[in-house]
Amino acid sequence: MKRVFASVALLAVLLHLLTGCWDRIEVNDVAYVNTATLDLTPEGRVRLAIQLVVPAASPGPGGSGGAGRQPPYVMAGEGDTVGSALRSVQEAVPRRLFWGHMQAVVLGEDLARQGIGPYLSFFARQREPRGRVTMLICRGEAGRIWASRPALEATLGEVLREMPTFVGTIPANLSDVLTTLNDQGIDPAMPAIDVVEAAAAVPEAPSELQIRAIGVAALQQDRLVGFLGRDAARVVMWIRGRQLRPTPHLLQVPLPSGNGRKPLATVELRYEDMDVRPTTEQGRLAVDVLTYGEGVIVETMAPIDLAKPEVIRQMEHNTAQTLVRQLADTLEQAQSLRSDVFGFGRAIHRTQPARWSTMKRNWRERFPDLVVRYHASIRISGGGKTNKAAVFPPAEYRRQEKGGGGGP
Amino acid sequence: MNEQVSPIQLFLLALPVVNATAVLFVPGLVGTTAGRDGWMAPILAPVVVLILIAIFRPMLRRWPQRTFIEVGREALGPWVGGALGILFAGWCLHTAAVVLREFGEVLSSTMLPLTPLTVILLLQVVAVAWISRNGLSALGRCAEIMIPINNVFIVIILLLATRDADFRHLQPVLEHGPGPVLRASIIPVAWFGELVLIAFLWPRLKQPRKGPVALAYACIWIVLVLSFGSAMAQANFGPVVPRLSLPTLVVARMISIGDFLERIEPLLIIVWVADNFVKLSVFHYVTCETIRQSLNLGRASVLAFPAAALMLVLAVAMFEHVTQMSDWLAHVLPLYAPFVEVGVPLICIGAGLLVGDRRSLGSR
Repeated sequence: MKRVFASVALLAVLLHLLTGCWDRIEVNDVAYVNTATLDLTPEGRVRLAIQLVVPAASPGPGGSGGAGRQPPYVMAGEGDTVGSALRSVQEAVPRRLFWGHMQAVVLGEDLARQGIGPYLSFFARQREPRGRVTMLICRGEAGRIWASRPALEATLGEVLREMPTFVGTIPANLSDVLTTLNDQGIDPAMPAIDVVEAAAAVPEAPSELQIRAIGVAALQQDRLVGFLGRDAARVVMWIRGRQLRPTPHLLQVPLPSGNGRKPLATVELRYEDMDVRPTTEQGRLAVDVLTYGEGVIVETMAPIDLAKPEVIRQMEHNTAQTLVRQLADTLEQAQSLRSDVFGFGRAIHRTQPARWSTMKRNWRERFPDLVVRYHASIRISGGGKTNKAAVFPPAEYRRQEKGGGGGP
Repeated sequence: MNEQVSPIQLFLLALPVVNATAVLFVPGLVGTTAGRDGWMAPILAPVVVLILIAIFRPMLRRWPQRTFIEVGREALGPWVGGALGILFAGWCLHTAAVVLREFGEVLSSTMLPLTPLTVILLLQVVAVAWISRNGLSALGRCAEIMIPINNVFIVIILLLATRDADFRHLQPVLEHGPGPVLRASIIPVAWFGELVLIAFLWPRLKQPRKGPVALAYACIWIVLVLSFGSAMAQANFGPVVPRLSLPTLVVARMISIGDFLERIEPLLIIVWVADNFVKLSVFHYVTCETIRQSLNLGRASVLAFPAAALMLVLAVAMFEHVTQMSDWLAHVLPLYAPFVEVGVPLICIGAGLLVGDRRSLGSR
């Protein structure tokens, strides 16, 4: 019995050693950094602005709405390094800044064009920031994002973290950027955003500033060289071999025939797959891009009978052509920027390492002349809830059938 | 003296001797040398264990209940044999001090930056001395409780990390031929060589001949974990791996399942503390035992706390900072460790076998 008491007492004493007295941090001594923006001032200094989470202001589950509409608590500081900018921020914050829960870093265009490497160093070295921090590039000055008010989410960081859900841009976190920066034959790509004055949804209401996805920021090594358009996002992610998850991929596709009404349809692609295969064409390097997609037609703006197999086949053909045009446009943009955000070089490296070793040194000069052949195959599984859309009068279907059916 | 551990306990003791530190350090080191083929490097490393088994097998057959220190002392006499034993004990203590310092550096750079290093080390050292004072059977029980849980945690962490893994980062395979992989496999050899401590413990089994089998199974599991860990680091971070100080920890930090299962790296730190506790205890127990046997002392347990104090002082004083330690680990340790790990048992057992017939060592 004595032994039992003695060991319990000993355990109780030992437990106190586990609390880590030196490193004890009380939650209310810490200020959580939610989002950071980095800009370059005209004098070439770093301007760091951070949004801190104000515990009282962030609505809990089922809490009162509208709290998120309060102006975000943003502090800014300047310095020659991110660290010294941080110091000048800390001069006005009564709590220790904590980076472990940071959700997003937004880089200004000027800073990104100078090269992001020196400014990311802090986030790659300091022990708190995580690899999952979303990285974005803002057209113009990144600090402008603070003027927008998130309506749906509690913090701006939460909005930016959900960036991949926005149509028209790609996900990229710190770890992605570092990985592509260090790899051969691929340049980093980051989501590009802008702050725009959105037309108010209700006519009388004042217009608001909104964060909008504007496409993909293309880098050369660690320097921003330009922005690829909205269609580029899916293409970039596809060729890199990653799926974009949450939002439906809606393609505007011409119908086989129209009769006075708008001959357009919307195809929603639900499954997408792509493969990149380097080959040789008449002794020159070429790349085959093989795409495969499955989708349904969710909208037709003219009467068309989707119960007919030949109509479906026509639609599959048209969808594939639309897709190939998107691919080709995006590649052309990237080639003119000399930024291989797709990782064609990396694809060659992975499949034909011997060949890559002869071309890796001047890949940047070769990339703009790269010949890419597209092979798209699309399967359309149907027309949604209706085959002959019930919105058109039967007479129009009959007239169309007389006129030769689904021929283009 | 005999029958202090079971083969399963010995198997469990062998795992942390390599994996406690290797899981965190090896992926980065092999990634630096062999790039994306780093995951192959651990596969070749157990060759050193085969060499150890080849050296120890004749001894197990003739004197199943004696350690190579005892055999060496009787064959070479108290002066030469004892000196070899002390050399071995010195290596043991020295390596344990380095491991202890690694343990502390990782904790203070990731979780406890403000806590003085000495305090972190002291807490571990007290526990280690205590368990080693209580003997091998207590240590075996500890391993039975901790090591299975630790390994489950590690496997879970690595499996969860497959969500973001892109195994195309492992391509092209063997771009620069087998040379870099072979060079990289020397790195884990340093760790596998430490399994000589487990070979030292074979005579403590009821059937010492089951020792090599238990060690072989342990090697298979160690190789699987190290290979998988290196592959996961590579699949998650590709070309960045050589730039990371502790890739496995960063892999754990990247895990995010459904936006709620996140920030699970404290699990890895728990594994780190517990695994290192067992590893250090094995080292410390063998240190005390070899000193006892070399000097022909009565009990090893009286040595536990003095040796632990020595280990602590060495760990604190040996390096000024972590860069110095890494440099030493990369450039000095490989030059001397294998000679002690393999050389001392080879001399002791070889001498025993040569002299053994004349002096009939086995008659005990």
